Amino acid sequence: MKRFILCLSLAGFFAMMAFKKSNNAAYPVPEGWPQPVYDFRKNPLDKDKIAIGKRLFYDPVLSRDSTISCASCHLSYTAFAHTDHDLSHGIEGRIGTRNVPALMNLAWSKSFMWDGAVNHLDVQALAPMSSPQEMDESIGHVIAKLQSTAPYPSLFYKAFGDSVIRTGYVLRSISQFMLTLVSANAKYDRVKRGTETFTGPEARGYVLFRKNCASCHTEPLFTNGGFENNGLAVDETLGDAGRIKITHDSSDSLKFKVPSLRNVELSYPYMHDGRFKTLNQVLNHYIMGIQQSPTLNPALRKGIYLTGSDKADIIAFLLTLTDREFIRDTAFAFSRQ
Amino acid sequence: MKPGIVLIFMLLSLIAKGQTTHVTLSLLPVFDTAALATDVSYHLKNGDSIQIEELRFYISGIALYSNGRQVWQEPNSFHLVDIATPESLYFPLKFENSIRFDRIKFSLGIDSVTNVSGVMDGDLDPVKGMYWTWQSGYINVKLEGQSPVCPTRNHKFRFHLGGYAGSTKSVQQISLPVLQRDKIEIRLAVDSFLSSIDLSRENEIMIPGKDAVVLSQKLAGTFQAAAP
Repeated sequence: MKRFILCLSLAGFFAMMAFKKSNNAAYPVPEGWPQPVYDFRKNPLDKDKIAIGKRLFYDPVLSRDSTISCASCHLSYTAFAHTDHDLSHGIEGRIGTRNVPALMNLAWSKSFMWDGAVNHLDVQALAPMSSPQEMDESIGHVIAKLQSTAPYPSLFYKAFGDSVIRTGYVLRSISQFMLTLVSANAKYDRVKRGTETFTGPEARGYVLFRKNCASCHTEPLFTNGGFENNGLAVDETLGDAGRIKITHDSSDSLKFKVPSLRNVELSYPYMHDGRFKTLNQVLNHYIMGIQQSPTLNPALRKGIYLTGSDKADIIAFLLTLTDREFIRDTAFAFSRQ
Repeated sequence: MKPGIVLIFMLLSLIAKGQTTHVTLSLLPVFDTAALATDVSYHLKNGDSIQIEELRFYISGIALYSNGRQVWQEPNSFHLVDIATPESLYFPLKFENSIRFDRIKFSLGIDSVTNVSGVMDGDLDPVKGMYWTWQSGYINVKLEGQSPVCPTRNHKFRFHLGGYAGSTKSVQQISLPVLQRDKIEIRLAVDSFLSSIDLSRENEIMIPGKDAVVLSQKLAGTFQAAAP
């Protein structure tokens, strides 16, 4: 009897250890990076759930007329941005009001969307799904469609142990796939790890970057996660005042999320409305295009002074943030199911 | 002998602990003291006619008090009340029989922590249509209807009241005396809420902000404990 109890408690102990491990150890945090913001205890990564999330990400069933998927605008080969499109696209050729952001390192993001309208990764997918300018669909209808589309019911049953597909299962699965999109192996990262070295222009560009850009585009994520007014003139056709729409606080007028600069070579055009096509245009804005306004970031009041060769050096550095392994990873790219 | 006594004592204490009771909490939207119904023509004090098409709201964080001290708190306390679903107007509060109370407190709407905690199940499931998708957060109250005074398309008015952060926080705490022990009946006077608004000017609120906060406060003020 005693032996039986001992065996039982040992089994329980090992079960607990395994549980703990599956909760915490699965997510790799690159060296020198902060701990993720995302709470994995509430949604521990699981290969079946990641696979469902990937399938959903590439499935147009999420849109009202089944014509577009997440991947229609978030392409793996361009770091999940919609390269060469200034504003987001939706069903029936509808055009939205903001530039599609690249998707990566989302576990470190405190808020989502250019104005931080979405406060948690698990509810992010509801926004494009429901937006009339994007998928124009409802989560309730999506669930009904999934429930009657093989092999989804059996996939969800296998992953969640429930024959009824629920909102939480759909959204947490999409989160799981998005959480796997970690970009941390650009040349910059290899230089930091000491396995490669910068060229002369890259090294000079890095020094200039740290002096002029890093207060907002902070390493290692290349964003401070905040909202800033970077002196863009308001586009009169869009009239977009950014973060103030969410907070109703006048100090947030004209502020937008600071985007990560990782893979910036691929995610053109730039800014919340995709107004700049090239990195050269972006740097020219900071040198001579800054519009003064009360909420302008103080560091930009006088603009940034850069010579022509400084610009070339900064761009050389920015190109070291391109992560070829990330954009070619077959775990992320579309694959025939 | 001794183990027997211990066993009896343990059983007795289990029975005593297991003696739970339940009290039905009813939340009854009324118009001029009668139960509010959809698609019925009512008249406001100023003579304007009005119809209600939808009224749904969240009640959360229900707790009972005795002499100003909290004596019971409902676990996982989130309820979506919908006049289109009569059974949603009544729910049992289960607690130990020994608890005595003279006051009930709850919130109209959803607290800020829940609003930033991702996707939820049950009454909080976004499929219920009480969650904003373009901007994260629960819609605490949905009230829609028609009145000829509204200069809108089809004379509709639509109030979607929510907002959880900073100055847009619209969840309201409500504290009411409990007048009867065996049932707790609370009414919200939709007529007095609508009479406090100039529907010809204010008829569409669909975003968090100052207007939503003011209307939430007004609606919270119409909750009353029904006299036995």
